Amino acid sequence: MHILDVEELFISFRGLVALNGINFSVEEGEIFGLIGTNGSGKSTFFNCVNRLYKPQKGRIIYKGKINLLKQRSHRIPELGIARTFQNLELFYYTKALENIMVGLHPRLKVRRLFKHLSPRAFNAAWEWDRNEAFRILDFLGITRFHGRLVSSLPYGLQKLIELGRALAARPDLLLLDEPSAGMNEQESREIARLIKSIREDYGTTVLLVEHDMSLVQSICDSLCVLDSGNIIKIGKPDEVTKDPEVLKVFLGEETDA
Amino acid sequence: MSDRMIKEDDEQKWWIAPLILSVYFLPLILGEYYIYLMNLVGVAIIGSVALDILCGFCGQLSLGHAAFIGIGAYSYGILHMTMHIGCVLSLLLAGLVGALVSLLIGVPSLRLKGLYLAIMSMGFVFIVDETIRYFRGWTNGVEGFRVSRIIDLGFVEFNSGKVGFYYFIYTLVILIVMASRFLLDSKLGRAFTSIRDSDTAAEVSGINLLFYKVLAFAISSFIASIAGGLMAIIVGTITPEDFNIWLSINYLVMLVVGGMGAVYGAVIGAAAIALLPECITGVRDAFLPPGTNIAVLQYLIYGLIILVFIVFEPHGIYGRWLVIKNYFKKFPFNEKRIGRVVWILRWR
Repeated sequence: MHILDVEELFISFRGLVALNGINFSVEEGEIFGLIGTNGSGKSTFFNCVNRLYKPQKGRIIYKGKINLLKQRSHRIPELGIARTFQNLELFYYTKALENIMVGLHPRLKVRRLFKHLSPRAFNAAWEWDRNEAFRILDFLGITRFHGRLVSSLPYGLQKLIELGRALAARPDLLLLDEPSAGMNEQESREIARLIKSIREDYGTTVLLVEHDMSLVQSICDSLCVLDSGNIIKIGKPDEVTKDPEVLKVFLGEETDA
Repeated sequence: MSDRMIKEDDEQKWWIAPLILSVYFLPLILGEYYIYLMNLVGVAIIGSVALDILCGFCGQLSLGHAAFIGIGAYSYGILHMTMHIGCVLSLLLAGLVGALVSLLIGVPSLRLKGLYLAIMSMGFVFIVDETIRYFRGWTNGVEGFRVSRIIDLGFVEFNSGKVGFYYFIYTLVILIVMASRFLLDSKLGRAFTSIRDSDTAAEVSGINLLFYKVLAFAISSFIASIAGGLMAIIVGTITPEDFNIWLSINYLVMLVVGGMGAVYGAVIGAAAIALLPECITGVRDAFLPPGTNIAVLQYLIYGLIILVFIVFEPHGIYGRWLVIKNYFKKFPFNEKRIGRVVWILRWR
């Protein structure tokens, strides 16, 4: 079953076409890689899914029935779509644990507030939030940093905390914008392992934008190559990376074929 | 702005119970004038906690606080004195009027940020001021509106000059402070603080920016308007000049001096700033020849305090207290030794 169907998605910024009527589908449970050169429209696509941008044309159908472009942006996480950013968007002056607790937001109903008017019930609810956040930190293996201010943590850990915040919403579809950017080789292997175990443990479909080709090849089930807002190839990683047109875009190579 | 915010730690506070007890025993040793003064401090605390919810928790810098206090005061006056509605109901309705009016600046706050929001809300103070002057038939204009100094709770009556009212107002203070503390730790508080720190991150975490910003404005204005109503009861006569831009600035100064983003910071700041003129008068009586004009001195000291806190102690009195407390908690295993400044963020 398709979890995401993108149909004729078109967006331009004052005449500059960022996505030129693209079409593709993401299967449920797969790790889908979106690659392309800078400015090819990968992050723009994420922003369209999240409704931070408003596309002029097209549809994004989620789980076969919901048109995401008709939803308000804060409703997207409630539907089960969480994301991370290429340039981190964190709450820098709060603790790591509290950052993750904010991610729980879409799972908590407003009526919960009225249920917990007594201090004891309130504390119990707070404990629950805390334990849930600790579970995420455990999963990411960064429990010991829970009390630290995010601004005082190294970049790699900040990326993990952002990932944790996205995971706290228990998403069905996780959008990762360059999860290994700015990380060293060891950290990037660790990220690859994490992404795989997110799929296995949470059953989450992962859509990822990445420049690190070795990472993409090692974990992705399908790849989609974008160039200036157009899709030039969709398929298995092996065939995509051998495609002459893709090589031309990426390496600027003239192929003899 | 968010790097200037502090937050309470999660520890149990041993000093809360003795503090509450001492607040209740204080009238036994205070004279009538000081009780009047403490009542004003109580109103200041309620008002500054209200502003802290908006500025400290939610990060919406507002200079319109005086307008809501004014709206509360005049609404209470009109509802109770002109329409003869009961005291408690009038007070609650005054709060609701403030909350409703706050939608006027709450909704645009989705597009306006920081300084621009502050300036827009400042304009709102002038509008409210002019409106009060214009509707002379209802508000009695610049001549001042007389409000009864007696509050009738149905089963008991308090005169605002007497001890009973002191207990009433501080019970209210304690309830509001406790409620705000709970608010900060709930889903609502987390939504507010995340909007303060990053709009985009809050939005992708599923937080409805418009709803929560408007809610912050409504809660803050509701409490501020109740503070306004109480102020009217204490003062007895209210004029439009009582609610000008200086009152807004005064409340912001309370937050800066006490520590923005922490409820206890707002409480400490309100007490410190509200008692400041009294302290200056005390100093004059002790050290200067009798009859010295201290009006100039008062503004000088006031300005100096603002400067000193913004430059040297941006996290306010409560932030400094947290640093000191943390220092002794870790002693003697501190990262830095005595005589060196403990870096402010270390207290966490």
